[in-house]
Amino acid sequence: MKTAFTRNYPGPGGMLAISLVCHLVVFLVIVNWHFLPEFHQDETPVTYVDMVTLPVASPQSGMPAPPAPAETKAPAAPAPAPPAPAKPAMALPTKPAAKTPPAKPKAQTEAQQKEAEDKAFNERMAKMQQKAEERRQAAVLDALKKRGSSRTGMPGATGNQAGSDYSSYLQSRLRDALKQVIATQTKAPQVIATITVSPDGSIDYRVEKGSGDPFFDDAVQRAVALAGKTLVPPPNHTQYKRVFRFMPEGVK
Amino acid sequence: MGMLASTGLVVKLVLLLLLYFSVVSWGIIFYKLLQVYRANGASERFLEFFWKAKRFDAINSQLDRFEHSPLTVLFQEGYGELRKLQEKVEEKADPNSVSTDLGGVDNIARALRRATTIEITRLEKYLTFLATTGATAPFVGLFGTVWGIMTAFEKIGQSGSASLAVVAPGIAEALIATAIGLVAAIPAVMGYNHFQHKIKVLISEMDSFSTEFLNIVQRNFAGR
Repeated sequence: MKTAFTRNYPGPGGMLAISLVCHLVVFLVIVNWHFLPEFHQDETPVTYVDMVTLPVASPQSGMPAPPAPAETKAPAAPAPAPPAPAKPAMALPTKPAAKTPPAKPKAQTEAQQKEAEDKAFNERMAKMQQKAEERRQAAVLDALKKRGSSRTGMPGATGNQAGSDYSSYLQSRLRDALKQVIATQTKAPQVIATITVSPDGSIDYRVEKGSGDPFFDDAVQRAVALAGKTLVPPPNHTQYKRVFRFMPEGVK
Repeated sequence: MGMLASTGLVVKLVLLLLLYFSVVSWGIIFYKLLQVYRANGASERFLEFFWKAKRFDAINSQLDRFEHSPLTVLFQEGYGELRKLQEKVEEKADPNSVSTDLGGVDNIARALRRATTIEITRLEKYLTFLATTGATAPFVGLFGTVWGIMTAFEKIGQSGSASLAVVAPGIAEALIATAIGLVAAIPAVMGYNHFQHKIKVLISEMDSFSTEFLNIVQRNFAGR
């Protein structure tokens, strides 16, 4: 009679062989069908570049010089629109100078007429180009003024220069003056005042709202007087009027 | 293929170890699937035959038909012990001595318990490897990945460039170890849980059969 202890059970050897074969098949499928991503070592040399911004001597240095009317053949199309405000105008490729027609020994009527027409045409075109150039320069100047408004009001500025406006200039002067004479008694005083600068450069101020701190009110008054001593008149001989807010941190 | 070939020695060893885990795990899974499938089928057929048969010796002569059922082992052990007791009784003068000796039934119960334990051990054999693979393969793969990334960073430091083209391949190669670790571990855990459940069902069948066998023995033999 057979017992459990003599029964011979098959081991997992056959199944291990089947498993090995299955793994080999899966591996070959993966390799042959390129399931795994392939990476190739990048052998190209690495180039390091230092990015530097060279200072520009003059923002208008890249502009083409206005051509001489008599020597340059003007282009048929009008001048291009003004460039973007932030960029200086790119230098346009200069056209080869038109050669003036050589004087012919034989003065023929037709040739003279043609020469006169060409000359008149050149003059007209030169005038148009000069006007376009003036417009472009004015646009560039205006753009520079707008661009410079965020950092205007530097010490020593007059407010009439390119890249500044009078409001920022006056604010800067008032802020500097307030720093010299400031005195406070309370924690965060604030004075709102209307500043008026007359065309001759004299300054006047009217307190709209006091701070309640007599020391600071007095300091503001003295700061306005101090700023008015060296103030440049507003541009175009006009009266300038604006409300400023005086605080110990500055003037807004 | 080139991705695998460009890995370091430690990562290659880790990958080989994980491949071994995977091959053996799948071998055990195939083996256990066959074993449990055969055991279930043979047990069903054996029980059907057992309840139809009138005599134990007739059942014993047909056991070869249900070779893969663990119940046949239990029957063999119980029937063998019963035969020994009967032979012992026949040796004595008084043939009714078995009827008053309850220790005979206890002997059969012990034999059935021992056979059940042996069958459980046989059914659960190799399952520990599945559990070990499921628990450790991800960590082995993680070790390979960590080692590969360390090596990759070392190479990056030597090359002096930190561009993505230099960093990415080394890390991708290292991550293969974790991927293969998971590929080895996931089927192992699933197989382990599945076979645990199937073996539990077979154990309960064996317990039920043992109880029924003892009842039959006590009903038919102990009262003589």
